[in-house]
Parts: sequence; structure tokens; C-alpha cells
Amino acid sequence: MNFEAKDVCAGYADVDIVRDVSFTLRSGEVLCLLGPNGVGKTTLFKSLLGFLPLHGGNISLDGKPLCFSDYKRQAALIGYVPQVHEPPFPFQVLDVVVMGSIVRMNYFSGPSHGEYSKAEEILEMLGVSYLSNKVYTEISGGERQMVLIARALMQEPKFLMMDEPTSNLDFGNQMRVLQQVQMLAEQGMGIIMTSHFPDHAFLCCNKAAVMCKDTSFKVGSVQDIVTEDVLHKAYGIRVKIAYVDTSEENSDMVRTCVPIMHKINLSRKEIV
Amino acid sequence: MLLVHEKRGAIKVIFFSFIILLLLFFISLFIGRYTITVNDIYNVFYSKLFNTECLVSNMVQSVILKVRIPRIFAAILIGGALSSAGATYQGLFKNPMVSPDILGASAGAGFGAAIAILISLPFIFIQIFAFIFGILGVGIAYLICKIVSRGKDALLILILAGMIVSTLFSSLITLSKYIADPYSKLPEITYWLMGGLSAVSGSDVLLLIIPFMCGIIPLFLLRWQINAMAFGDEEAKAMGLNTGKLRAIFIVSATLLTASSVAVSGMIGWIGLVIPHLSRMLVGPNYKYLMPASFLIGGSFLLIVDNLARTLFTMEIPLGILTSIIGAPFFVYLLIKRKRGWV
Repeated sequence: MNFEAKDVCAGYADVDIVRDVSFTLRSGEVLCLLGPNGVGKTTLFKSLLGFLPLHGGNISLDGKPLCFSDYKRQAALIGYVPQVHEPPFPFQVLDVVVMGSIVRMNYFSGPSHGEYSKAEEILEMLGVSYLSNKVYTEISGGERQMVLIARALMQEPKFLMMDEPTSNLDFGNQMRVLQQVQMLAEQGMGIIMTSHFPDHAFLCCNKAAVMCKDTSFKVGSVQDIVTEDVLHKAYGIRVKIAYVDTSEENSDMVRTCVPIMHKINLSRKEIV
Repeated sequence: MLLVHEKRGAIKVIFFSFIILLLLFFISLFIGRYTITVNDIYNVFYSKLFNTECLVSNMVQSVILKVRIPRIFAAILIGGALSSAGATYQGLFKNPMVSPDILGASAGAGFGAAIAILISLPFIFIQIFAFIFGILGVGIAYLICKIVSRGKDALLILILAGMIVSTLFSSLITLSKYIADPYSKLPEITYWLMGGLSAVSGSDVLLLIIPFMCGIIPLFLLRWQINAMAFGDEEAKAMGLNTGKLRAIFIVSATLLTASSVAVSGMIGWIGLVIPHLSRMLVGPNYKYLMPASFLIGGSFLLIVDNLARTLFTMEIPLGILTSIIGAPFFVYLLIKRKRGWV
């Protein structure tokens, strides 16, 4: 399937925060959305999900425009993984996951036994089946992120929108989440995720997009987009991209970005 | 396996709450100034059921049928209604500290009753005015929210609007007390506001039933969806819920319950806050179980408190005072006992 955003303009009230964003994403591709704080990543995300009305442009799936007013159909196509948060009530993990089955329910019923076993299967697939009887408010941030991914997968969506899936997670948990992203993409899911780490684009994404303060939006393959120049322009720091040999694994050379610390003061003067 | 176990636990709690409520119902028939025997009750029910001549005196009959039974039903319905409404609002506003009067239903109803008393309308109009103004209060809060928020931060603005409306109506209540005749009207308004079921008649209960049913049926049918609503507007939308429509339905239903309860009983605080907490401790936060548990436990709680109100002293204590006096330390106890998060 093809997710396509064309000339999307979005923002709050009368102010455009995001302007002329266009990109396409096929099933099985992962797009990493990068950009400094306050540049409108979240705004773009919310408009792609239909939380904010578009000011212009359109969003379509396989050429058919998305209908945001039909919530169930929309939810069956696009799953949303929010940033990890704490709900006010101590729900059981399995009850949280099974909420993803709302797309297949009518309003007057609760989830069936079948949906509960499906929820357990999904937790198992994500390698966190031990969580199912735990209380959502008592598990760690990394575990909560897995639960939120599981809940989105319950919707059986074609595309997944992940809002900073690695924020507030420790190093190990970040990689565990990215591993799942990679796995889901291999199974044919199209994924759009935001991140604060360009490395994440190298690790598990095919496509990258960078938003800058001047509302410019660049999208393309990771190699083309995550470059030293682009990162410098976006974040205002100097970055070197290095190649690391991880020969003990069967993967080839892994790229990584290294910020250049001692030059920050100088470059800051240049910018000002 | 633990999951199955926990669910069985929840169902067990609901079942026992129901049994306790039934027991309380029968025990309450005997409680009161006028002594009634088991035989009397048997005879009255038997004669009513099979339409035979009643063997007990008219006095006993009317105590049972016209005084105690309406009062017991009113206590159960109002306790259940306030608790269910409280549980709903708590989920909807993602906040366990919310009570059913958050959107101004109680203050509005209080003002409506005060007006009706001020202009010397018959008793039934006090209830009708209270009901209408209760709905009006929430309606104004909702309208303010629609005008101010334009879809953004709707929940927060709705709570603020509810606070504005509550404050406004509270001041208007004070104003009506101030201008009321201090020998006749002022005590009447004051007593009404304290809350109580001493004046409840059979026709009141029948009148209460209609808005009560209109409120409780949608809440029970749609209760599972509140789980997802408790995760916030955007997430619920992304899960496929039409949150705007659902929220409107929940608010209208919970408001019908609150306004009709306040119209019959006056202001009874604390139940809508404390009982959902207690229920959550017993059955967990899943609304599938929380809603029935809140209703049953709320009904039992108000029935017990009402029994205390009419027997504790020779003079009847206003119900609103007693629920607060019992509710406040009980809530502290719950807070001490809570194990996980905001139960």
C-alpha cells in the first residue's frame, strides 16, 4: 500500500506551522522524521493522524483520500503509538492491549475472548508476554512502550505512526524498540516514527525526513538526507558521520553520527 | 491464569454487592420509629402480589408502602446514580479526583430549587426547577467550552467552565438566601440544600425513574468504551472511537443522573467521589466491572447512611451532612490503603 501526503499544510488556528510537506511511504518502509524541538514534528504527526484539520493539501492511501471522520476505518488502516505516558488508572496490561480491538467492535460490546487471546499472542510476538497480568502503571517505560505498540498492532493497521518511540527509554530499551520496528517493517508494515537521534535512522529506517526551523522539509533515502550538512543546518551543531565495523554481526558497516563537541562554542558564534 | 482469576474476583465482588444490597433492602424495611414485624411485611407483600385482602392495619400498610419502600428505592437509585455518574466523569476527565458536580449540575440544581422556594411554588416544582437548572448549569458549561476551546484542550476548558458555572450558581444561591424571608423561606432553602430523603414519596421515585433510566442505560451499554476514553482524546480517536459524540453522550447521561438525583434528594456530596474509588480498589479500573460495582456499592452506601440518618438521633440528620461526615474519614482510609497509583 501507498501512504501519500501531498502539499500538506497544517497548524493551529490560522497559523501554518507545517508547510508544503509531501512524501510517500510504501508498505514495509520505515520513515524517520528528524528535526529540532519546536519545529512542528508533532504538529505534522497530529495532522497525518487527523487530530488536527489540514490547512491545505491532502493525505491519501493508495490514491484514495483518508476519511478522518470515519474513525473506525481510519483506525483499521493507521495505528498510533503515542509517547509513553501514565494513565490515571491502574489498568491491567492485557486490558490496555485489548483496547486496540475497538476497530472490530460495535459500541455496545466489550472485547470477546478471542480478542483477549489475540492480545496475548501479540504480547508474545513482541517478547513481553510476561507483562500481560501486570499493572500498566507499575511497569517500566520500555515495557509500557511495548504495550502501546501491542495495542496499536491489535488494530491490525497497515501503517503505524510512532511518536518518539524511544523517548524516555534507556539505551537497551531504545534498541529493543527499534528492533521491533525493524521486525514489523519486515512483516510489511509501513512505519513513520519521529526521533531525536539521527542514529536511529541509520539503524532501522529506509527513509528519512528532516524538518528545519525555516519550515523546509526534505525527504529521501537515509543516505541522502542524514548528512553532515543537513544535520548541521537542522540542529545547529557540527556532526561527523562515521562508519563502524560491526563484523561480529552479519550486518555490514553501520553508520553513526558523532557530534563534534569542542567546536560547539565556535559554531554557536557563527550562527549568532 | 491470573487474569481469569482476577476477573472472577471482580464478578464475585459484584455478586456479593448485589446480595448485600438485597439484604440491606429488607433490613431497612424494619428500621424506623414505627415498629414493623416480619409478619406485617409478609402480609402486605402477599396481599399486594395476589390481590387479596390485607390482614394488617392501614397504618402499617402505609408506613411500608408509602414511606419506607419509596425511601429505600430513592436511596438505592440516588446512591447508585451519583456513584455511576462520578465513575463516568472520572474516566472521561482522566482524573480520579472528579465528582459528579464538577460541571455545575449540583450548584445549578440548588439554585433552581432556591428560586422555586422563593416564589412559593408547590413542592413538585422545586424538583422540576432543580432538575432543569441542573441540566442548564452543565449546558452552560458545555457551551462555554465550545465557544472557548474550538476543539483544542476541550477537556481542561470544560472543567474550568464547570468551575465557573458552579461558582456563579453558588453565588446566586447565596443571593437567594440573602433576599429570602428569614423566618419561612430561608430555613426551607437551607434544609433543602443540606439534602435528605425524608420527604420522598412514591410519586417522586416514579418521577425520578424516567431521567434515571435515560441516564443509566447508555452508561451501562457504552461503559467499556470509557476505558479507552481514559487514555485521552487523541489516543481514543486513533483507536477508532468517535470521541466527540461519545463524550457528549456520557456527559448528557451522567448529568441526567446527577440532576435528577439532586432534584429529589438535595445536595448529597462525597458519594460520587468516594464510591468509585472504593469500587476501583475492589474490582479494578476496567469499567466493565467498575460501573456495576459502583452502582451497587453506591446504592448500599446511601441506604446505610440514610438508615443512620433516620435512627441515630431522635431528630433526623440531613443526609448531605452525614455522607460528608462518614465520607471524609473513609476517603482518608482509602488513600492510606491504596496500593497502586490512584485507585
